[in-house]
Amino acid sequence: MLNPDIRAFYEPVTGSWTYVVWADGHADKRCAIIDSVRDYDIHSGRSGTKSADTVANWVNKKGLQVEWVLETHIHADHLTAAKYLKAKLGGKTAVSEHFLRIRENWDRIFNFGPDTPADGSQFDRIINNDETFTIGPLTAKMIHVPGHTPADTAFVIGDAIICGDAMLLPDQGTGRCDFPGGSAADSYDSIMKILSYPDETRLYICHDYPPATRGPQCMTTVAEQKANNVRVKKGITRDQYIEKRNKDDAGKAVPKLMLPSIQVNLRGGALGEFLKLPVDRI
Amino acid sequence: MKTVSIQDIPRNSADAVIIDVRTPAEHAEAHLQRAHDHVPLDTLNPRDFMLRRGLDNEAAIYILCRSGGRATTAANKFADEGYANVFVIEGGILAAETAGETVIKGNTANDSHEPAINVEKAKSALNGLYAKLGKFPLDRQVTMFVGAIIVASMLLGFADLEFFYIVPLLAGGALFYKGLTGFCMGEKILAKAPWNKGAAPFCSTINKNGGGCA
Repeated sequence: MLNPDIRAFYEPVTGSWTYVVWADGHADKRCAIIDSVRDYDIHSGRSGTKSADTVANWVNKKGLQVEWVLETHIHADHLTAAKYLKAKLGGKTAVSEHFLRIRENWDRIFNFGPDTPADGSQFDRIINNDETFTIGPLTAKMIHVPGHTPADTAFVIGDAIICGDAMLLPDQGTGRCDFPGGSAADSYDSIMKILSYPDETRLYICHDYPPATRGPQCMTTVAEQKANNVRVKKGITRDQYIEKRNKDDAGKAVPKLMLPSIQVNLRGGALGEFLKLPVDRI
Repeated sequence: MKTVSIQDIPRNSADAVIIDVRTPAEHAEAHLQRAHDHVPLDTLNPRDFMLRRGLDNEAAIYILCRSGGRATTAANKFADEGYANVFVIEGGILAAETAGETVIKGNTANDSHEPAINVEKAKSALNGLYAKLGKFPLDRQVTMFVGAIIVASMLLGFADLEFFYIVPLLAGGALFYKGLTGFCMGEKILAKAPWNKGAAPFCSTINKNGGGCA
């Protein structure tokens, strides 16, 4: 099986990683952009494309052709630039079938209008559980890894897995599980699913909040997670994980960009004209 | 090794990564405001860095230290592993500040609260000593360390322990060798000292990283 080359772009404001996945040196220059970021200032409501343009400029310089603009999940802490990048570079936007559940959860709060259809037509393609698809010469498979949110997915591509928020780097642990529909028990089971891949599998995470003693990093391996992850390393039981996760998530603040993120991301990245501020509903 | 002035490094380019290779303590004391990575020289492994940072071979790497010495060592590590697009930032963070680059200074204010118990006092004093030691740039720590060894062994020598005269002899040789080649064993050893790792021996300082998703 062909292994992918992966270039990562760090967005420091929200600590997010955007990935470009392709096969270097292959005649087929098609690539996928995963988990892009649209800059957004909460105070003024202004959006920006600096982070997305950085990725776009690199893709152009490298001479790659965008086939997919993918999301591992409906992010709650940053806005996707999928729509913008699609307009600029082409490609198809896609999200997992679990998007429907997320839309349903949040509909009670936002009372969505026609810009957020329930049938997923704001995306070009809905990917089903364990479905395989191709990125140029590469084979990718979507696996369901709920926990952080019920719609979290990961992409298995050759010897690499783009994990989404199922796990963070070993020193940072795992993603919080207190969003609507989140579950620490699901999170543990999803992590075990990822850690059942071979030890040398490269794991690419969605966020990094580096401590002062190192710079931002995006990659670790299955073996390193098993040995060192502060929340799920060998010796920590499922029950211990769940108890600690729930205890640590209790009373956590809502991410700064959650309200705009959920709305824009469920619209497939379309900003629209206005965003709602629900009153006393969360 | 190619050198570059910090002003000439493109801003907002994902293809231009600055790495500060000074110790965590030096970094906490003063660091660039503009985006940069921080990987102390003694833990830097170029191939591993590129992979974990998600960079491709063509990405430009700019290396910063205090004045340029350690950055050159780091840049040579990259060059030895075949990365061609690597630059040393001229004059390090000292020159960067002179050139008008914004440098964030760490909080040097002293903690005035008085612990009640003596053990706590001792712990706090040791923490304070670590913090103070760590704030010395690495090259000055080496100078102090070597100077102290020379004085101590000379004193032992005067006390008829003539054998100790060999220590200043070796220290002098090592200093000459450092000047000649840039290789400094003392720096390598001291970089690993706990006070240079940003560690406080008696309290676990947890990094708070704002409210993210995780």
